[in-house]
Amino acid sequence: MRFGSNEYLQKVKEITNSDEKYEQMVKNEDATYTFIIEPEPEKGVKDGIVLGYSMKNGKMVDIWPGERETDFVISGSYGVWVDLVTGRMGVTSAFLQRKLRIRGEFSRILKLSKPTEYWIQLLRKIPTEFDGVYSKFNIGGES
Amino acid sequence: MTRITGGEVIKRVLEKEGVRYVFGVPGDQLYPLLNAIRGSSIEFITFHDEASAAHAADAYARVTGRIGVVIGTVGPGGANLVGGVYPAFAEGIPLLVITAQNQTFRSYPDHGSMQALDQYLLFKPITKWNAVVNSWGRIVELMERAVREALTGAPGPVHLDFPSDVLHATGDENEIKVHDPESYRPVLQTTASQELIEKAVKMILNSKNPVIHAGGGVLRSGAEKEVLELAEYLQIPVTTSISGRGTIPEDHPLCLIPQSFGAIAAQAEADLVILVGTKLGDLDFWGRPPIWGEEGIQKVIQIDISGGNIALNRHVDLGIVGDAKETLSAILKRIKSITGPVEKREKNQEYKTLERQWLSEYEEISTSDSIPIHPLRAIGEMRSFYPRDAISVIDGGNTTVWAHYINRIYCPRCFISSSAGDSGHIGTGVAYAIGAKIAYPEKDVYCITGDGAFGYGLMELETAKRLGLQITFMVLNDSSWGMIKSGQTLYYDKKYVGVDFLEIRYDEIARAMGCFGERVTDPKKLRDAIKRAKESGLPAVIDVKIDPEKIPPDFQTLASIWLEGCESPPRELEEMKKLQ
Ligand SMILES: Cc1ncc(C[n+]2csc(CCOP(=O)(O)OP(=O)(O)O)c2C)c(N)n1
Ligand SMILES: [Mg+2]
Repeated sequence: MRFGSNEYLQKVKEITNSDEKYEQMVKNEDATYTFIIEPEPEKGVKDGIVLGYSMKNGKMVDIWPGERETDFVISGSYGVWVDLVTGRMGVTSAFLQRKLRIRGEFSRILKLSKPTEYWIQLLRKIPTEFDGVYSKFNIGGES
Repeated sequence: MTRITGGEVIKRVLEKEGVRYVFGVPGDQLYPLLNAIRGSSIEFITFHDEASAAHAADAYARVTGRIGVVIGTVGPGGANLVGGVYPAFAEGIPLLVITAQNQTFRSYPDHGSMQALDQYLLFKPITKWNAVVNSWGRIVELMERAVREALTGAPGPVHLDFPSDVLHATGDENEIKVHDPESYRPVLQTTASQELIEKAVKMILNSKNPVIHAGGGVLRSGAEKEVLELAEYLQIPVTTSISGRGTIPEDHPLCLIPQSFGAIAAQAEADLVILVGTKLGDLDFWGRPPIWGEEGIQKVIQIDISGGNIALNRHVDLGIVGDAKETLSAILKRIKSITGPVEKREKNQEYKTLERQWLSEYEEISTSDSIPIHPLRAIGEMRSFYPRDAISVIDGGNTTVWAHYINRIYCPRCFISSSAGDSGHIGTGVAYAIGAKIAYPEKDVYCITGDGAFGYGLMELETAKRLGLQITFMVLNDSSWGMIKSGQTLYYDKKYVGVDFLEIRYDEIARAMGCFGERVTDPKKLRDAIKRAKESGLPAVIDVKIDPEKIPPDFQTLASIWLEGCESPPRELEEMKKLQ
């Protein structure tokens, strides 16, 4: 399914909520997030993606397209997100490299980095198609 | 009347300066100096390579705080010293580099003599100050000046070029006078004005959430006690640059290990940063957000011995030129006269928890029994075997990054590493360990090194053997320039070029030189091997076959710093071309 599509978001929710380890990791870390995935027309990615979700008691209670007021806003180019989702770059590394920009309480972000690394790995279970040049990195969906 | 050579004059000045060792490689032109040193209170320690000799002098200076002295002959000797002087220059280590030169009458400019080289220009960009000494009568003056330049203000290497006729020339010893150091260089350091101290104190006492960031300048100045006292009195967390490691024990409740999440959070959230003896270089992310707070919002006080370092990479709210020790001690005295100690700061525990979280992952891997051996396991075994005050020398690429995670530093001037410092020069480890051990024979000195880096100083095992130095070298053997190979793995689809070695048994090479040598392939056997190495009383090499596939998690971050602004690797460019 297409990265960032509605179908994809629903799958993200399903996968997140069926993982007990992740639930344990973030059960005391209620928060709301916005991801801004910026377009890269020169690489064949015409549209950006904005999505948000909220976590409560270790469960993803809602996931939505578009912008709302959230605790954290994490933004970066499409290519950076592809690197993260495909495991070519770590979340913390992307952040330290300033490839991901994060708004929100800083020490909490760092505290959440490990669960987030784990969560990103979960996303690799979803068969994913990327736009433009990044289609080369499409994920088959094996775990 | 006694006539003495130029070499003898040099030796007399060195003796007055309290120099115990001169490191180097000899050459014909140096005979009078070598002859003067023979039988004096100074020992000439010969190396197999001038760069190694310079590294040893550099390490000797780092651990003792005294000037290191290194000697090389004209031309090839001078040229080969360069690789040894550069790390000292990059990291502000006081070295006196002495080269022989061809005779005055045929140098500057040369007209075809063997070994000719314009060493004055060669050393210019890697020394604080240098000069050609072209008369016997000026030796004392220029030697004193060189030492003064090396040790005063921001320390660094200096170079004197001695034409062979000046070294051989003789003069009446009554014509020269060698002086006590107090008479040719300041022995007390500079303090900032009281007005600046007052301003700093006010900013510190007004801040809610300060952090102290200590660089190598703190260790050079011997200001570690003052940093610790200020930190403890006001419960201020302390982060260090890589070269400032050891300023505060890395298990101290107020220490946040450099680049750990705890350190990053403290640096980013602080309302005031007190920078001491650091230029905020690349491994401090240039002082930029998100690792640090926004300029204008986060206040900065910077204390440095050199005005040129103030605001080099980040604007400051208060710049203070002064010696770290003197300045901090004045600040502390004033603070104590105004207020009592702070009990605790809420945030500190949070930062410590973040640091633990970062560290625990590595500590866990360091107990791995996997074969081939994980680098962290080998490093962890080495660190835990040695006492807290052991001097650890780290060298190599990935090896250095792995060691950063798990090789804790607990005391000042106990950590020596160029590959983790401003020069990033690999190949310094063997000679650094030798220089440190010469300075403190009673202390444990160990070196953890990549196999590639080890190759540079390999022959100096003979030097260590000759001097009777027990140092244990742990070689993390991945048969490659691992760090460079990692980049080719990640960015060039494993298209390797120029990164692989043959399989080499470094333990066998060591044994051939009369040293202890053992290879370890099973992690459970590491501890006993380290023990046997120490008990051998010999220079010892433990060749550890490590897992060559492992890449340190921070590799990408480091690569992005070093290649910032460069176009993306060709893989993506090829894909883009297909689209057009
Ligand atoms: C004098 C010098 N030459 C080249 C480099 C570039 N360089 C950085 S890391 C590295 C590889 C080091 O290999 P090794 O010592 O075996 O350590 P490993 O990365 O395998 O742990 C090289 C060649 C350098 N830093 N210094
Ligand atoms: Mg190697």
